[in-house]
Amino acid sequence: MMIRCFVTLFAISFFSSYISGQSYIKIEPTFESKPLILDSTYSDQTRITSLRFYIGNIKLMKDTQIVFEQPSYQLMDAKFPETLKITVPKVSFNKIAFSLGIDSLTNNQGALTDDLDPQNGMYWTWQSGYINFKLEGEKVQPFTFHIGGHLKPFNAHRSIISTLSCNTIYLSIDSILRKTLTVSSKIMSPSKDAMRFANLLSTSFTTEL
Amino acid sequence: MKKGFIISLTLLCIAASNFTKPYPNYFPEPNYKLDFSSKTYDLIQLGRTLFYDPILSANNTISCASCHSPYNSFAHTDHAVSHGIHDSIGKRNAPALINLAWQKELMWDGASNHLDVQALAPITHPGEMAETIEHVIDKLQKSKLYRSLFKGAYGDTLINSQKMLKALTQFQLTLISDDSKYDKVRRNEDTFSIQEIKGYQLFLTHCNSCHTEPLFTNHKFKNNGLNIDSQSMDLGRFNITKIPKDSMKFKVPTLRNISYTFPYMHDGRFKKLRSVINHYVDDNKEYKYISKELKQNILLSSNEKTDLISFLVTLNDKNFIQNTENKFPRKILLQPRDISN
Repeated sequence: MMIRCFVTLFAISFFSSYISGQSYIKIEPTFESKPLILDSTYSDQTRITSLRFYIGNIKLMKDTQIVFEQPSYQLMDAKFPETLKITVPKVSFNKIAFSLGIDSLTNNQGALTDDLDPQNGMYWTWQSGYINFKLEGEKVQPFTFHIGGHLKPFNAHRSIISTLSCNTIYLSIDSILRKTLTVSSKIMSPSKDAMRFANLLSTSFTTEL
Repeated sequence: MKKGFIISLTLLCIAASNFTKPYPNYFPEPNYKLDFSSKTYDLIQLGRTLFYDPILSANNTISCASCHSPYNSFAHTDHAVSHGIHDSIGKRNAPALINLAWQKELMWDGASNHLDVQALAPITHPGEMAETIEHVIDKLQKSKLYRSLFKGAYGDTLINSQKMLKALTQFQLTLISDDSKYDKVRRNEDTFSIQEIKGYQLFLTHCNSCHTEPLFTNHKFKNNGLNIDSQSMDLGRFNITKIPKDSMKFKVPTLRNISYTFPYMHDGRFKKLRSVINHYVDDNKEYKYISKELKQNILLSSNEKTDLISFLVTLNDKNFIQNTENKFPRKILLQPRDISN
């Protein structure tokens, strides 16, 4: 019954998006190869309490040709699954380019609103600049990663290009933590450590689980 | 005839464009668009009200003007460093808020890259206003007064952080100080005394490379040889860039309204202008990362120091200090209202 219900729902949503000519790309944070569940304690004692990040400047490409682009930013929050979806038109594409975090130009534009409202808690008030990626939780000890920075040499904005087979891009949080927690458990300002973390993030988006 | 008409039309246009510029023609182009016309009047008044209203702080006791007083060129005179909520003592000397339209980076270390977002720092700092942006917006939304002021300024009652911050920016952009004796001399409305001329010559030789006229700052970050304050351990620009050579660099402050803005330096360590000049003349400085302009001491006799000071005080703009347009908006803020937390 449940399955049939799910299939029907899926069919309805697929059909309605087909009619409206809209589709979406989903960023799916994962832990142990399954969708991440906030506040749940995993077998290795890890618990993620908050995961928020900016994705923007989406470009969909068919081979080398750009078929859709959207030069804006979206704040994704693992707490609200609908924020992890980016609405795109129904076009045929096999490659996606996007940026993780806010570019330097946008960082210098003064007060912005909606997803870029400093009220969202993704802005450093003591030093102008957006936090591109926020990951908080605990693994025996608490960890806090606030990754950002737009001034050279610590510009943490990253561009990512990926070949797509389906509409979901995975971000493996356990693999990021495995590679990070041995080095540091706290990054809260633009720095070398933040750059290393940003580099790691830019290689952590995959199209297969 | 036709030619004459075109010439007079051109002259009229030049006159009109000069007229609309709210700053003297010897000032450079500002970094912000300045529009102080009737169209922006309500927005500026909203910004002015926010600037003087302690509603921006957690317990409604501290306003921007608590540390940026209009009687002191919007600095905090007689306080080495500023005081915040619950009598907290800060780390730095509140700078004068004048001619901000020409500044690219704000604060002593350039922490803010735009006037809009600068206000976020004092509002949320636990030792200054200790407030959250959400709560400020919530308080403003609940206030009848602000719903009406935002409606006047923006055409609707929607209140968000962008609208609040942009209103504060608009008010602060109006704080242009350009009517000192120095300015009157530049406009041929006054003349310097012989001592002031001597002081001006000394200024041009020894000070102008950093405190560049007509704004009396080059807006750069410089290490002027101050030794580090052992209490605050404030490293200035290094805190922002993390580049070792930026250690102990602070923004060159404007010298305009110098008599109203004592004490001097980022930590207010010098009470008197003469002590500042003595710092540059004496050789007990930290020379390791000192800026190239100060590698050699400035040589000044006692009389020359007095001459220099006589020029520096011609940068005081009494009309700016007395301008009631930028002071506490009595009519708006002294009416009965409801502040709810």
